[in-house]
Amino acid sequence: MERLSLQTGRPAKEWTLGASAFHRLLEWLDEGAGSSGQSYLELRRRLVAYFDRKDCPAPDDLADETLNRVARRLDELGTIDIEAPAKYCYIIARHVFLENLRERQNYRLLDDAAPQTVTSPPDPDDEKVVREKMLDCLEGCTKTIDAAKRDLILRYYIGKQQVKIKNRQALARELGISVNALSIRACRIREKLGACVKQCVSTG
Amino acid sequence: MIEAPYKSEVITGYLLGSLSAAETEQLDELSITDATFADALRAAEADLVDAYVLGELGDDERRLFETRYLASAHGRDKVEFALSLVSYGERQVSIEKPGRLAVLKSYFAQGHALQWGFAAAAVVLLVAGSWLATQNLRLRQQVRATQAQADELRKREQQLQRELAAQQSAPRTGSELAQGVEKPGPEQTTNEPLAPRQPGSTSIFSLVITPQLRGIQRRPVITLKPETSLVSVKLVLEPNSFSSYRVVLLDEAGQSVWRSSIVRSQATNGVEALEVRFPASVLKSDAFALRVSGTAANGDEVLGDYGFTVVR
Repeated sequence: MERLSLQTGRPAKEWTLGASAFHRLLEWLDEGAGSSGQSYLELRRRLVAYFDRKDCPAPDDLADETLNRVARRLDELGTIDIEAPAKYCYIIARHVFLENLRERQNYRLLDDAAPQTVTSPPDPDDEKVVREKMLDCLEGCTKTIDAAKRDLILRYYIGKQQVKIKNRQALARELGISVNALSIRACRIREKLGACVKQCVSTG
Repeated sequence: MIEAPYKSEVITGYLLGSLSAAETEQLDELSITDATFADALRAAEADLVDAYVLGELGDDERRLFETRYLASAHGRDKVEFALSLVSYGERQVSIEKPGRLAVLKSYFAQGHALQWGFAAAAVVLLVAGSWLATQNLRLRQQVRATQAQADELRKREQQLQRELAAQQSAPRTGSELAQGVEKPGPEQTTNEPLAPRQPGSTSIFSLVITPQLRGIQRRPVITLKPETSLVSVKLVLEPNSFSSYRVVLLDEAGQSVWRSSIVRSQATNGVEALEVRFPASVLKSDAFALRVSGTAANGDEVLGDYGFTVVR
């Protein structure tokens, strides 16, 4: 299970996220479900994916900024009157995205990410080293997941077109789940592996 | 209005940026508020990236994928990871192959009729292994072809830079400069893709624009083929005090259609130049200008426009 953290990236101006405000946010997002913070983690993951799809330079920071603003609003008002917390989070996220886009368009944002344009062709040897490193990391990461998941992810990606489809149908039948549920399960394992590989590559 | 359940084409269109603004916004919202849609989207994105890596996308989808999805760092990361997964699968199958063959032989030797199922599974794995090996070979060939294009481009650019440096070091009169521009000089364009196009490969159109070409009426004219997906422009700079720059591509009306992040200049034979790359899809038949600004802590300073005309 992922650990909850009070690390929130860029804090909102003149307000910091304290423990009580953070717990209030967790409870509000839970809507009485008592998920032990899983609702928060799931929503944060969706927010990161949203900013990532929008090609924002620091999606994690923007997701944290969004949740910080929600937490601040909750802290100030005690509650937020809206049918679904996720809907309110989307409204704030869209606002954060548009602000960030405007900042980038006006060249106000100090963009410390890698330049978008390529100023020189990549060194093929460097690329090969990075690819090998990724592969080694992937191998190491697959060892950290349990055997059933490792088997599932390997079998899920075997085959091409019709063979792949039939293979997945058979795998889903074997596990007693639908093909859609299987693809979501495989995708979650893949995402875990992806995060592990990213971490492994960046830490060397 | 898009209605649930969400068709895979709709999700693919969303991921490739081909839906209308209203539809995109609707799905943006669902990606955060609807758990079912969020899960479907994750799975669809993984499948889309796999389909690209395995060469299963149709021409239109592949073109959109390369010009839009791969334009983002997020997209490139996903493709890199998918390539690693394919290589890993290949490695695993090749490691396991001898063991599976031994099992297969053993079952046949014992005459166990019911083991046909296992034998069939082993055959499927062997076939899959061979297929993965073939795919990996194809992708590597593709990478090599792209690398060969890049090498060829680099060689040509170095040659152009040498010629350019020689031109700049020689004293010029106004008429000599005009003549140099009137003739299609080598610095203007390489008007063909640099290598025969491989299926799934990226065609790059390369162009060098010098300061001499900036201020005159006759702009370089570039003819883009439909399959060209990337345009690479080298902008030769006049001496200045900046070390980093931003470049904005402006259409005839002065509207920005693309902008770079911070770009650093590179010197070749004492000539400073910037290289920018952008999707060919942003260019239609029209006049365009690349506006170069030097970046500084107290704001950017426009250094000049490099105009060119596109014919499709």
